[in-house]
Amino acid sequence: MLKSVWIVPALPLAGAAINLFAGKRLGLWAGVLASGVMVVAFALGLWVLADLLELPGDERLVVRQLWDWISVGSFHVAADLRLDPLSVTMMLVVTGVGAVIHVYSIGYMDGDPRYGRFFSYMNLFCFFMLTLVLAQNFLLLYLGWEGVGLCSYLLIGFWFDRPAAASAAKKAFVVTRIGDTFMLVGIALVFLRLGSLDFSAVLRPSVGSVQPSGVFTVIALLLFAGAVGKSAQIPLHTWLPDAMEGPTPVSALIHAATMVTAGVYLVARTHVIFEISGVAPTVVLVIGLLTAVYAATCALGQDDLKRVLAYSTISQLGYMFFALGLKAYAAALFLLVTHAFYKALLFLSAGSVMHGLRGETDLKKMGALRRVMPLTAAMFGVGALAIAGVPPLSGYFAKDQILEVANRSGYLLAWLVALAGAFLSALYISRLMFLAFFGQDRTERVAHESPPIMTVPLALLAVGAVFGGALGLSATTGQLHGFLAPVLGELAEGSSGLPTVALSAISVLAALAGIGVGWLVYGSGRIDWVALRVRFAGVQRFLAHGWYVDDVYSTILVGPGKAGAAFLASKVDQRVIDGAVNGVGQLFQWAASRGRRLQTGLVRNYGLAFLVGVVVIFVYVGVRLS
Amino acid sequence: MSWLTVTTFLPLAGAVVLLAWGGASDRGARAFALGASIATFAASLVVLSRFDGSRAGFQMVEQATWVASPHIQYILAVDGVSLFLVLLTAFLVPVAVAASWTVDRRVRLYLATMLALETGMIGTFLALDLLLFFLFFEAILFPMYLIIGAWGGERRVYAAVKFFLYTMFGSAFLLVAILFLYGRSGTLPGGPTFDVRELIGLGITGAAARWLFLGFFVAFAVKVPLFPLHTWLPDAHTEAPTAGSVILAAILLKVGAYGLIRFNLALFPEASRSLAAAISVLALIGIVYGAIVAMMQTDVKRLVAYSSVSHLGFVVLGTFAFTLQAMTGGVLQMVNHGLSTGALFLLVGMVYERTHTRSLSEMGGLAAGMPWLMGAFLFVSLSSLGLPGLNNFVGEFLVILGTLARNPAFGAIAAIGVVLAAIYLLWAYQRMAHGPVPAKHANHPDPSARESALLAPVLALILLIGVYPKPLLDRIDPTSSRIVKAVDAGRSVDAAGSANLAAVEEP
Repeated sequence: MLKSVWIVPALPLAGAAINLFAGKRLGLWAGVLASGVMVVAFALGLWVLADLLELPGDERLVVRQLWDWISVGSFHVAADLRLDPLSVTMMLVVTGVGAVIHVYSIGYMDGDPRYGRFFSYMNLFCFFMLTLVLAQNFLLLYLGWEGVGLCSYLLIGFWFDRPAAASAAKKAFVVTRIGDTFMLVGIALVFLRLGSLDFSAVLRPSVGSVQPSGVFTVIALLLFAGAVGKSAQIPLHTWLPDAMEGPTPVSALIHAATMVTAGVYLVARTHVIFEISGVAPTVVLVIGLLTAVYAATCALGQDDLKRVLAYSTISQLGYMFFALGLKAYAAALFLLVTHAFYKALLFLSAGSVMHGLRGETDLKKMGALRRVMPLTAAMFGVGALAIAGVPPLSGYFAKDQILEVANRSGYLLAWLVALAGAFLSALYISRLMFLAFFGQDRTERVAHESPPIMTVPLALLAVGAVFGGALGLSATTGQLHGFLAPVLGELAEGSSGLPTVALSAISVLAALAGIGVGWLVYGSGRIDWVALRVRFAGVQRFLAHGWYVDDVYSTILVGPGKAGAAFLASKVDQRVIDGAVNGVGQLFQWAASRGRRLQTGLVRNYGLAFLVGVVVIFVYVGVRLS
Repeated sequence: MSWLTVTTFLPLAGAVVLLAWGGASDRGARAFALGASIATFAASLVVLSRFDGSRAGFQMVEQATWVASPHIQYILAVDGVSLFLVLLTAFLVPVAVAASWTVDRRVRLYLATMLALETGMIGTFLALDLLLFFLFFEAILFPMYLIIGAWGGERRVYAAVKFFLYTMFGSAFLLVAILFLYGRSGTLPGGPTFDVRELIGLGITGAAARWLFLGFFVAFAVKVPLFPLHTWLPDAHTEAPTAGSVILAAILLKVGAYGLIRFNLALFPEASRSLAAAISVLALIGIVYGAIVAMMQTDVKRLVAYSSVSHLGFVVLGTFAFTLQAMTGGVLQMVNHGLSTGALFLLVGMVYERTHTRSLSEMGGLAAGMPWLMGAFLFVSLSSLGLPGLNNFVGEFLVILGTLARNPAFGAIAAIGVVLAAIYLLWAYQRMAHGPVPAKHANHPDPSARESALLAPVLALILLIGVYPKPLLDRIDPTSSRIVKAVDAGRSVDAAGSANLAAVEEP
């Protein structure tokens, strides 16, 4: 199977093509087909994993060459696929979680007039995402990278008759493209300075001898800019909350489990370059940590069910980058995998709520939903406990490890900030939980539980969210960590820090404190949270608007940018440049009209005059020269 | 058989027959013109099949003395730079003819003009005798003028005259420079000549070279068009009929870029080097400025016209970076821009035929009623904004790569154009296709069989070149390598300069 791995991305590509052209005729089968190819792709992925595991640990690298893509002189890029523990891990996340979300969508999207088109785009997304993670060189990775961005655009704007959805789609593409363009320049520099784009050639510690470390800093930061855009980190995070305009399965698959983690994958994949740089990991660490805490505070202020989860995703991605900055790559990947489970679970549960409430997402209009939607409530609860970091659920292990590494690496301040973020995470998710599923019934519509085609996928993801922690019980001896070690290296033992037990106790306390406060304010009934909102309306608005970052961008960038562009288009181009041209033209017209009567109005006369003129010139020149 | 001559003059023969065929019905004339242009495309495919991709120099040379004194020769030849421009022309004219089915005034004359135009364009790309080249170059002008002026929109006369005078202005400089070169060529061993291959031997340098360079340059820069000589383009595009816009954008603009490579670089390498920085700056301004101005347009055709200013900036930038990758990317980008922008104009034309407006503010929601037409529009827009996997990405990336190698700042500024392209294209697409559907746009039909048939090959090529550009790159490469070496003798032409991967190889 290792040699035929191209079938794995080819399956969703074929599904996308079929549903694009025949989706209308297939009816409900469009969803079945799309889900089917994903299930088969996942099964084949497991087969690939089995084959890879049979190889000795340090030989687990297979490159499958497909065709030459771009080749000019010494520049050479091929469509080659790479199988190693890191790419296979990502492949399984994409196909596994992807398959579950596809199945769920069969029910969720039922009745949509563009049902087939939806599944076509979803399959296409999976194709590009698989290309991204399986690419053996930077440029093929970039192809996948832009391709998933395209599918994100198509799916955020899936209900494009809504202006908000159309704008959100465009915003997502443009904002991420700012990062992508830095990344593209970084990729070009990789070739120009390191001589190849091939991962096997470039991503070796010995590459550090080719160039001074400053070159690696520049390259690493340019690549990281791409990651910042795609993974919605500060300052390019503003597109993700808006991206919630897309159908909820899209939010689960693209904007939680897979695409937004591409940046994490990129940094992990190219960590060699970051480490040689020296400075770059610190930048990653700081951006990740700031984003983790910032987005957690924003999540607290959201009233829209999905926007809470969107900010939560930004925050969790921040933790992943924080881990990458600490050089705890396997821990970052572990959080990526577990997060894929529990965040997809949370989103799909949220989708189930919306399905039951016919599209309602306002938390103020929910409450007590556990009575009508017990199954959904239970599933959401599992996801909430996981993300809050309550043992023994998967999120606990993943987050605890990162906090432990932070503490042991001597970044005490960072550790404390991350701990505060963990407290906030538990707080915002319990706020969400209590507001939606407990307390008074504030619904305006009659809710109902979702059909099994949606709840069974929830249960599958819940299993992952609960037991996923088993993949990596410890940062040093975890199974996943050991599997990834040939690619990502072993974690350096920290010298200082508190004992493991104490650290775990502290992070569990932070989680429980967050849940406790959440319960006290939103669940206990002892505090009037509505009155609290009114009293702290300023703070509430500040958080709800994401610290007004978007408004600042609009005011200082978009507004003046448009005004400047309008000035160029209407004043400079029309008046100055074209004005000069017309002025010259008028001058000639004036001179010509005085010389001869040219205005015969017959086009053929102009042509004749022109021909005669040319001939005369030729004859004259010919006589002169011969 | 002289396949280059056949490819060049077959359309003209078709035009003559059409004009002579007095009793032809409109249908018959259309079918005949389509047949003639398809036959020309077939002939160009023969040229492709006989082209030896591994060779750098001119191939399939057809040479004969035309006028003994002054010594004007009939020389046609093809190399890696011109090959795909000829193919692009021969490929797009049938598409343009098929897109002209809706032209219903003086059909025969219109189609004959279109075919005559094709001869002019192909001849321009193949002629090696400067005077022959000039004749073809000028022969493009008149039919294009007619197409805009006679079959164009409301302000067609203004646009046509502007187009005509603007390019004539450039041609005047070109003619003077050509004649000056001929005057100097008496010192060559073969005697006076217009043959560009021999004129290279003059090795003109210094101030004379710079003036001659500028003489050629102005003529070609107007055609490209290079900032600030671009303002004829939006008017010409807006007023031209659909097929006219397609040909104008896809092929006529390439004549300028082609001329820069074929004549400016070849004849005046020293002047090219000394002026490269200044020209690159103009190209960069064009990339950014064209994109910004495009963003603010409300007329779709004007928007696409300004996007051409931006995209052609990449071609000129690549031409004057003097690295193998940038040059090859630039040449490929000429073909890519021809396909993508040609397709954009085809689609804009189809939208116009349905909505009777080119104004973005009067559109909206079109994707609901015409999913396939708008889907095609999005596909081509994505190609135009450089999505990897589609054609433009390959050329743009090679240009950026090759430019970064020579001048990091230039490469970085060019990359800004990539972001801006996403903004103006997706914003335009949103205003066209997204949002609620107004009642007046609810019932437009998706593409007909004819429209689908003429779009499909263009879209297929856009994808094919994006995924597998090798057949093109391999044939362009030897020629562009030779050109860059000739211009920049003594310097490394390959973008990969400083890296020494051998040092990394583990023992």
